[in-house]
Amino acid sequence: MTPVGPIEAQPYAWPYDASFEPERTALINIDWQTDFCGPGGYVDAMGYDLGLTRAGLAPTVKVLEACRAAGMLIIHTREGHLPDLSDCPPNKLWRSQQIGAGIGDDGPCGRILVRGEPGWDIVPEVYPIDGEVIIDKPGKGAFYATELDLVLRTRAITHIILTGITTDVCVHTTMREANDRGYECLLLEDCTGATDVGNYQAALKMVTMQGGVFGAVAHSRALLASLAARGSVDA
Amino acid sequence: MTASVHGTEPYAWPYDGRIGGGHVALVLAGWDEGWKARAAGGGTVSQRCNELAVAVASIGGTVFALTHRGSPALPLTGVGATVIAVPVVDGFYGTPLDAALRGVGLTHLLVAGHGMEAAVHSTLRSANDRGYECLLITDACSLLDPELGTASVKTVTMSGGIFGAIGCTQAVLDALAEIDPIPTSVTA
Repeated sequence: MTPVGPIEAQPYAWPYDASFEPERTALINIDWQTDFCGPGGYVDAMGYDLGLTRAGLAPTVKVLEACRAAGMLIIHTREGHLPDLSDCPPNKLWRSQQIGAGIGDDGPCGRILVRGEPGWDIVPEVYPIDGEVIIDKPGKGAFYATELDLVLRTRAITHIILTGITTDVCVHTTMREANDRGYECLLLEDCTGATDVGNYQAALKMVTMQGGVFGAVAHSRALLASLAARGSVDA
Repeated sequence: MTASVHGTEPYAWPYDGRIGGGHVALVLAGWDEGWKARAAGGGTVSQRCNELAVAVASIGGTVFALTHRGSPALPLTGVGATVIAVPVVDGFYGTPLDAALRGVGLTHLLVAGHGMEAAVHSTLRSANDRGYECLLITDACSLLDPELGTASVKTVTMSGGIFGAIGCTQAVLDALAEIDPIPTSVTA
């Protein structure tokens, strides 16, 4: 297949090796769950503005369509715990209870952050289709205590494009993990959001500082333009 | 009897009120010439880290010094440390740090060092996902970009302490001074 890129990004044109092959590239959608961006979910229950975490959803829908059409590996992650909370660290449980959004407690969308509950599932706009990989994770990073690295290596993935929420927490932790493991990472700035605007902006800058210490940041239009130029996006 | 560090946010650290040499460790991330050189205010931060290391060791706690990508370790005066060579940014990836902590029951981590946004934050995030109870000592961390200091701290305290809690050096030193040291083992 025809390689794609490089695409316009900061602080360098991505990827570092000039182009990427779609079949060796994964789109990872981080935690587009009702608990984090849907009405009545965990973030909503904590009183944050849902508009901030939902801001990246519409652009992500377009990116998801284009990456599917290009034949990339599509991966979706979900943060959540086993119903008996046996994989939930006691300090994490305690902290959530202190702010009135206790993990495992009943919320408007089922038990908060528990696997299998309505609030834990991915919102319909970017719901996985058959054949796509879903990674269930107990923590913020998608690599720790999951099969993600094995899935990526089995498919010979070398490049990763990231969307999701929240930018400064789960997206950043996962991007840091991926970068440390040698994957060449790109974060799409308009396909991500955080509960705090300042933290969102700082999280983007933390990627681009020091020459791109964790990879690069781009607008989704740059990715879509490169994919379209290659003719991979069907009209 | 419970104990906590004064003035920590967003909750009185640690969550379980337990501070003691048997389970508390100081993790100094970015503890090498390379990270220090890239950060601002490294000299003062190094001095605070050294004071923390001496205090932690005085109650029988353990000090870990993380060096990254082969860069030479920074010195510590008057205290020994377990040096962990880290191939990347995160102190837990590709290193024996998790085993070294878990194996001897070290569950509560005081986290500081050079490059708060990079080596310190990556290590803090991984420690938190692994269930360690972490306190980020903000004035014992140097910054790569001064504009990123506020967000580096606020990201930790969001949502009731999403990566743990934050505190300052003097409060930690005060708290440790109140702790009885672990009795040294009796030798024949």
